[in-house]
Amino acid sequence: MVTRSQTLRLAYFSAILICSMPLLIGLIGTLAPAFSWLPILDLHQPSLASWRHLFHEPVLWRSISLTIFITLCSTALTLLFSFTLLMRFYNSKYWSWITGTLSPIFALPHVAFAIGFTFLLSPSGWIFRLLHPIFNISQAHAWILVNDTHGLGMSLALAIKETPFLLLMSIAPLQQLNINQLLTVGTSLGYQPKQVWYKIIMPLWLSYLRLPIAAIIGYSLSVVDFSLILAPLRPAPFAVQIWQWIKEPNLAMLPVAAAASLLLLVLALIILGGLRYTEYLLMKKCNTWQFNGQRQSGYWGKLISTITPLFYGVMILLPLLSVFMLALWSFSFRWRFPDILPQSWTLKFWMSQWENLHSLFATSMSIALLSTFISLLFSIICLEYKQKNHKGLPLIFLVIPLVVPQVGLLFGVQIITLYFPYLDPFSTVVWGHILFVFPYVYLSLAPAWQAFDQRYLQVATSLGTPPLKAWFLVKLPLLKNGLIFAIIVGMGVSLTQYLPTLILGSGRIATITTEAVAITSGQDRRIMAIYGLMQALLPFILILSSFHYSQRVHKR
Amino acid sequence: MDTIYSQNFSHMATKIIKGNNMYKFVIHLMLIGFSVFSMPSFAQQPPHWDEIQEQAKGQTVYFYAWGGSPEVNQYLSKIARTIYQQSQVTLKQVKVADISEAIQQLLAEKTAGKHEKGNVDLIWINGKNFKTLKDNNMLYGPLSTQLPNWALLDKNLPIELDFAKPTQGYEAPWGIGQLVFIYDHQHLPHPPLSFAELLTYAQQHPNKISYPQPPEFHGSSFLKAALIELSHDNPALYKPVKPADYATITAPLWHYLDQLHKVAWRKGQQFPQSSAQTIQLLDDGELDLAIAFNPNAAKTAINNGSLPETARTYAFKAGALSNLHFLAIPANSSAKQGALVVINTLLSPEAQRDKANTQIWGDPSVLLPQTLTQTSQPVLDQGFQRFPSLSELDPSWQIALEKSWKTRYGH
Repeated sequence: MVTRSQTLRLAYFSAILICSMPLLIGLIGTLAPAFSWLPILDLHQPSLASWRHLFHEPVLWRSISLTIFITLCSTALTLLFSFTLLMRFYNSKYWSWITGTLSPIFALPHVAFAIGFTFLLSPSGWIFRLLHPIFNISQAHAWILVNDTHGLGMSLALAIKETPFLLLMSIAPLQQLNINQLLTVGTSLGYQPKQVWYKIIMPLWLSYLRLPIAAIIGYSLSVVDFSLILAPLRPAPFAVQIWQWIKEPNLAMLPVAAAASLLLLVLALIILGGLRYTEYLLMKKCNTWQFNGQRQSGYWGKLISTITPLFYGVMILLPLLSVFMLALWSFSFRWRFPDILPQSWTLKFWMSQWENLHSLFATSMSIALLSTFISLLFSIICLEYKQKNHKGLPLIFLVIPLVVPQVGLLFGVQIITLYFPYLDPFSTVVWGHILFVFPYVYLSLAPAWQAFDQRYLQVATSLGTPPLKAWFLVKLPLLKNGLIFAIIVGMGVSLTQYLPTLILGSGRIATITTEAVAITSGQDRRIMAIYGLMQALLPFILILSSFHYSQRVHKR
Repeated sequence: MDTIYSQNFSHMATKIIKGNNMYKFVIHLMLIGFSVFSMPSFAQQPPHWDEIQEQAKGQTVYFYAWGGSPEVNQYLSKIARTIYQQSQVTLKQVKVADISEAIQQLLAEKTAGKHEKGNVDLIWINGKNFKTLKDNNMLYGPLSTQLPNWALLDKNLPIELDFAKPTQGYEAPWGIGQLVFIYDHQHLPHPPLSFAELLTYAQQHPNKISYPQPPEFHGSSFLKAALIELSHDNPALYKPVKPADYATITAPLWHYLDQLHKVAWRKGQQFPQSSAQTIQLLDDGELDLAIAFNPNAAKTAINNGSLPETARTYAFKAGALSNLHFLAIPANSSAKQGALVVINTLLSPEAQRDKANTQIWGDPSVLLPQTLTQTSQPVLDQGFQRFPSLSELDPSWQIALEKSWKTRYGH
């Protein structure tokens, strides 16, 4: 007879095993070939050959420096936007309005935004069309923010997409920090509120947001779908370059791609370590700026504070206009530069894509539902185990998938799947999604579980209800809100996965996201627009429904 | 259920956009779709064809094909419906950004010992990719003895050769590609007619000329066509590359490109990523010439709303680099019979005529001309525009040129 706690333990360890297996597999599948050990390709002698090959690739250093530039630039912009917005608007009368506008921008998938961004900001884009008659300059002299050589457009677009994420992540810590009290104390000592924000709140804020910032860095370093649309491609950012090596119809490139994936991982660790060290230096070592007694803002402080509303404008306007562009293009037939509006309209493209969209929706939804519910089940098991045994899930399981470059991890998994040639692509894709969905579901669910008062269960069992029944009848309904939030987050994550679907599905599994990226290689703006809109639609519905739901709960 | 759905859908479609010729035509097509196969066939059926059709029923064929052309994708999704109605074979196009992805996958499957139930059932290839698959014995065949519609192929076309490599019936020709340029004759009445003139034009009009970044197919073809002109059609190009004289033969090409890039679009720092992007850039007025591999590309793009009515396709005076593109079945395909049925349908006069129609795709037919006119359907605008052709080089040249381009300009 197996006891209940043994069952729970068994479930806990199987959950950990299933979720950590891709990590282990990914690591082994990358490490071994990187050092030339891949029996399938008749490589049995560990060596540094693939590294030598990698370091002789002419694109390597330019590609890496481009990636570092994009990552640092976009992270710096994200931090600047987020912090100045908080400083200027936190607890002001606009704050609730601002947080309300954050979720839709956060939910707008990267690919959809990238497509809209090109329609808006390329040299024949809408903004240039608006300015063209005024300044009458030719496109050759226009600014270039799409596929530009230095990746400036890509950095800006990333920052716009990540700022809402960072702001949403800031809400809970700022509530804990009791900002008003800090401000009162600071101003009573003669400091301007802005100086209080710089000198006291910023260090605390940063220390709370280390994980989200690390996730942003990990994402910027390794994103492929977004880069394919916006980044320069000669050379391409390092993750895209690795992806191209993986796809090359020459298996001898696989060990080189493996070495490159490891290099990207090392790069991620160096950047994360470097930023952490910079934070340490600024906040702990060279921290005279914190108590040099300066109580007034300098010139730069004033300037930044003046243009903060502009940051908000950019952050809100570009995504909004991007979606508007998608809608316009999807119904246009002829729309030539420099016209502001289409010359002729058509429903033809929607008609032609309708059937295809239908089946893509079905696939996307089934993968999202399956991976989310399995992740939810695992998360509940882990949280229950934590509550019973006071032993939490090792943080590493949550952090690795969020921070480690996706391309390397998945590449390793793909190498191992070569040894199991008859795996079903659909299940493999669901499994791959779980790896990335699980951390988000777990992190969204954890607060609700922690806040639950165990005495409800004790009362129920003391009244004679069997523990399992009490759990279903008492605990689960009380935690419904948390569960729904976690489901929404999980599905949102799954719906926008590109590489896991493509790599693990061997191309056979097509979702809205993979199709949207495939379609962009055709450059037909009408069709790109349709897929961009459709990709944005599902997460938007999810956000709307959660909003609706939370309002209903609120009214009660 | 699928059929009912699509028919209702098309009714709805006609109601909404009455007067749209394209849609009328497509619905017409769908309605006659049923009758197509009942027509007398032109050739004797090869042995076992009935058996193959029987085995194919219920199979799903995953067709790995370049997904970058909306016209091609749409053509395939329409024909998938016909195929399902006629033969109960489900055709699913896997839209790859570059067909080399599918080759990589097949190589990986072969290496891993996956000799059956592979993911790729049918593949759209030619040139170096065919060479890779054929040299590694990764193709199923020969197809020539199994397909009834093989008899309808136009034997005047070089259907047995793919980039100078004998196909031995291991791939079925599907259409004809010609490297052509597109221009807007209102904007540019006298387009350049040779690579030399192209360079002069680019120097007079900086930022207006470019080509897709090799190893993209069109970009590599641009290099080959340029090499033919700049090397004065050196006979060595049609034999495997000899390392000894590679540098001498290609030197004029690199010299040419060095000069072209200085005055090219975005100063040669970025290149378009595809033929489709050059067409978009032509419409935007950023480029003065687009590059395509379809002699009817301009007409198709006009019909699709992607280019103005004044767009024209043309070839340089030396001729257009020409080749055939093919369909092949990987040896580990999980649905070989289904794939055979699909190929046979794609080689039917109806399917080939629709493919040639510039309202749909505009890719020239590979069938005997008389087969296309013998059916009862009204003859539509087929736009059979073809240019004098330049032969393809030996496939080893493309591989070598792509490699050199990457070393010289890829970073």
